[in-house]
Amino acid sequence: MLDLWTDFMTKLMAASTAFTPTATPPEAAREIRSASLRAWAEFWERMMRTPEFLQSMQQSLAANIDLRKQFSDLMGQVQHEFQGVSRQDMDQLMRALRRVEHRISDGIDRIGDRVDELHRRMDALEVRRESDDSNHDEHGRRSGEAASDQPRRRSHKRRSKE
Amino acid sequence: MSDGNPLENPWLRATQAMLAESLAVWQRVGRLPMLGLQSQRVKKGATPAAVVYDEDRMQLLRYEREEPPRHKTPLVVVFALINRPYILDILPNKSVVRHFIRAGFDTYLIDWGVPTHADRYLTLDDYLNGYLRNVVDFVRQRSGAEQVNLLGYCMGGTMSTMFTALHQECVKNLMLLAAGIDFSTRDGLLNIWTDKRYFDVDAFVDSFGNCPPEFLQAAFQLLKPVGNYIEKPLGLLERLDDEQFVDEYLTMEAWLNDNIAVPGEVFREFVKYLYQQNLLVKDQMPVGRRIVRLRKITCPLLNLMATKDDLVPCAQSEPLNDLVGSSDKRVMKLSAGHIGLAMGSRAQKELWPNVAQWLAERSD
Repeated sequence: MLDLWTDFMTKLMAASTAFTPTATPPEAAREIRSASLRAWAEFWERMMRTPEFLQSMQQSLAANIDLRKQFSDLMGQVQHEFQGVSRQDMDQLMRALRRVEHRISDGIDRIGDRVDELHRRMDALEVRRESDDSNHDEHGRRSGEAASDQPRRRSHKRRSKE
Repeated sequence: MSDGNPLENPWLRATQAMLAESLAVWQRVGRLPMLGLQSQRVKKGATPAAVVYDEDRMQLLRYEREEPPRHKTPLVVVFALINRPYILDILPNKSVVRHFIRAGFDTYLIDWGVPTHADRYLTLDDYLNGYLRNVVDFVRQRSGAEQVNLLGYCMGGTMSTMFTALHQECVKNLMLLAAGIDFSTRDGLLNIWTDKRYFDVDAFVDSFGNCPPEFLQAAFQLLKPVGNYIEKPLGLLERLDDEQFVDEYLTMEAWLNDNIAVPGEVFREFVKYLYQQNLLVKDQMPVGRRIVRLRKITCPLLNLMATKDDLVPCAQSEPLNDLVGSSDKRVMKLSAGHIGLAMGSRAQKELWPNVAQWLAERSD
């Protein structure tokens, strides 16, 4: 932190002489201002990365959160005293609704998965039935063909005998 | 001292310059009361648009065009949940949307609306698999196209990336504008400030509900305190006599101060899963019951980023191109800031015509 501060002060001092010697006073003032602001910008950029700054930011946020929590609790108590509905009640209700919504959507997903599985099984059964049917038809056709071929074979046999 | 031309006399020249400067300052100060009148003229949106779909607080705007679109695949622009989307069409000469309309695209823009306390439990799942999915289905049905082109800006870019990874079949081309993907970088201050050692996001969301717009605004302003609190007002004071500059300044300021709250649970997911655990690049990012896997993105990808972006540094966006499964992927960088990438003069002249052309080459 000390290095950061010393570096910044050096740059700020240097900025006071950072102007073109031939420049008019307004131009020189602008150049000095620009150099000083650059030094400030660099200082803040580095400073906001230091653990000291981050810790102070964390503490201030934690204090804000505590304050807000106390205020919410107080407002909740006031509302309840007057039989009113507080923000915490609404939040609890919303959370309950979300839980119900999740349970319902989980249930629908499970049903969807089961329907998909049933579809898969039905498709598999359909394919099997179709292949069985075609096998049966093929078998029937073959046996028919075999029956019609028999006399020819016999005649062939007969011819061969002859 | 010179006896010739009085302007060669340094003392006279200095005195004259100081007098001129004083006069100019007084003239500018005299114009200060006019700022109030000028600020009332600020417009929000340059191109006429109509709401074609809405759900809860979300609205889908379709930009009007005189002739029918030349490309069958429409473009859906996904904006962040943080600011208002009219920045993409803020002025006629600074409109991102107009480049795509001119290139022949049927262009839609999602306005997420202003969340209230009732929306604090909305999650990324609701936004991606709910609203965005419904918008994409609506646009596909309306246009008769099987897929849409997506353009995501900032947080909207991160959301578009996740959506594409989850629903690749719906997206033809993905374009990202300053989208945060790899949050391990420590280049940006936001990445440092959200470190879990210093920022307890659970306590914050449990206490505040939605992330307040003032909190976000203060954080963004603090990224460049000297620039935002000193240099910017000084710049305005010095150019008060430039009417166009003042108009543009006021328009920008109106947008910058038009922050909206971020739904609490989305804020929690974004900070915890992305900034603190960096789950997106680890292929562990949960959205509802599904996990986002960036390799599932196979469509053409155009990743746009600004080299001077203090909100989403290049190191946060660039790794995406190595993580997706796309073979057609490209990075375009511009020397600009986070907002300059969208509406800066250089972006309007150099970047957006090229982006529109890139998209036209890849669209039906």
